[in-house]
Amino acid sequence: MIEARGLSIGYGSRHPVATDIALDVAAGSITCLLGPNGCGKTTLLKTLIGAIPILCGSVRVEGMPIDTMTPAERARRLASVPQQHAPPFPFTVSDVVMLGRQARLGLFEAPGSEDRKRVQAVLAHLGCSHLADRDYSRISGGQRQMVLIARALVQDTHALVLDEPTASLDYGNQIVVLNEIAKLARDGYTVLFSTHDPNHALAVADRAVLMGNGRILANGPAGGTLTGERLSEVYGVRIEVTRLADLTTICVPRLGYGLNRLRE
Amino acid sequence: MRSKARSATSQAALFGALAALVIVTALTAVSVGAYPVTLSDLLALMVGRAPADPQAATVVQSIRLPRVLAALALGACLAAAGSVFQQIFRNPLVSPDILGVSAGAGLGAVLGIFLSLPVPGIQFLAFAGGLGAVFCVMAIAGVVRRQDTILVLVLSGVVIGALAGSATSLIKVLADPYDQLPAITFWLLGSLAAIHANDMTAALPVAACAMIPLILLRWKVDVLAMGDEEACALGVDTRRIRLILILAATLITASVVSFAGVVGWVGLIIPHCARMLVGPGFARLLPTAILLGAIFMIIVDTIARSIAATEVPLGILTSVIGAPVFVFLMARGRNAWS
Repeated sequence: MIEARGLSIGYGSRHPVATDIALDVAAGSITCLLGPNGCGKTTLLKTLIGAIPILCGSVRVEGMPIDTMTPAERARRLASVPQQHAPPFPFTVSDVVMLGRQARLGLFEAPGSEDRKRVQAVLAHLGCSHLADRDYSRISGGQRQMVLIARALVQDTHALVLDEPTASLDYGNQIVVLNEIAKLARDGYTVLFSTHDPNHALAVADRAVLMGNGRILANGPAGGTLTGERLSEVYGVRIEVTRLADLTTICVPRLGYGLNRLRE
Repeated sequence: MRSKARSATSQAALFGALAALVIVTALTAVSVGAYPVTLSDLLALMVGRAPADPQAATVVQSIRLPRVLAALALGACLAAAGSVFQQIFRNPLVSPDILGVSAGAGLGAVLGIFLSLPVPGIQFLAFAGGLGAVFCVMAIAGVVRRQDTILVLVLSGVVIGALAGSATSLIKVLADPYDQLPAITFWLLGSLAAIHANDMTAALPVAACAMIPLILLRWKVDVLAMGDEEACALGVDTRRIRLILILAATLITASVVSFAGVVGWVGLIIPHCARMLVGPGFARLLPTAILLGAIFMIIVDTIARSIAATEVPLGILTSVIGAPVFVFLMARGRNAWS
């Protein structure tokens, strides 16, 4: 579904954030992107959705090179959920979700009753109907995340890219969002998301991609890729991966071992 | 802010009410003044009959009506341009002057007055100066290729505005202090005192044509308010659409500034008021701002010509009204900002 080859990413060709990236996101799977701060997770996701130009290499979505598509063509194949921030004006939740329909509308076309129905249906599907008329800048972080997911869903794409969908959410809301991601994959969506918590990858992802030092360090099935050794090395603290009695894999930090310095 | 007009019917009712208010305000403004025109004379003129007072026809047709129409167009255009600029620059504190239109137009007009050009010449130079300033800003933004296009645009606007401002000051120093300087000062504060119907024959069609892309692209404007990267991810070609919108809003501003002079605050305050009524969705915001701007400017211009024996420049009145309104909006907190 999403395929990157020999990809260099960054904001200027002199200083690429990461190079030589090869990535395959299979249709209907959940892929999770992990790595320390500044390793280029967000830059990679932005490059994959075509929001910033490719420095080198290629990105294909559904077999089509992303850099030859118009923004509208891209947005009909790949929907993205950015890291959340409040817009400068108090748009209502349904206004915000309706923006997801823009890629399906002509340049001068106004959203019609079909589009409004789609927005209502998706909000209902995510259990957010009651938010429709609320001010988007005044709802909670968890609600806002759901609204951004709704906006991506009304784009009617097969693939979704989410940039740290659980960031700055309380523990319960993190789980709610993870559950939603798992549900989306069951509904047939292809999902690529980034996170800071390896447990999120272990909980829902089919595959995990571990980034660091300007490249992809490991890429494979989540359980096999996210070993205690690798995580300890990447994050510079002692982390163990262990299995619970019901065979769920989890990772736990071990406090008081080894170096305890903040990385750059 | 749950009172915002959302449903189609309440929206239609609001637009209807505002449109009616524009007409009522305009008619009142036509009858008010140093030479009052009675309502019955006004109605007689409207249906094409001879009014009881023969002077009324001259006053209305050749003085008041052009002036009220000019005020209506001025307010509507500045409010429309302000709404677009605030939305695409994602900042509720932006006014139509952000890219240097007014500074450039001011320089053009002042140069025209300095060279003792006839009125159409001054108007043309004002229009050209406004466009020229914005083209310079766009050119700088084109050369300085950075990620944050918006920031580059705003800073270039500040630079060009400052340059145009100092050139204007230089001409003021050189200008004849008895003949040209008062005209320059008056023009830079905005006034419709000397407006004639044929002063607007070039400007209004330009403004009306430039309004078309705003109306056609109204649904894309909201996407731009989400920021470049998000707009791009939502499938909107931000560069192209922003360029079209900036050009259209610049043409609109430059054409009204060319006949009315520099009138501040309208393009900043009116979009706020409109947003408080109908929310930030541009498809609702644009018509509301246009109607509110028209009403506001007709009232301000009527005050300008009737409050004192001499004309008060519009720019002074709009800032006297605008500044407290602005403080009020600020005190109401974030929601009123937006």
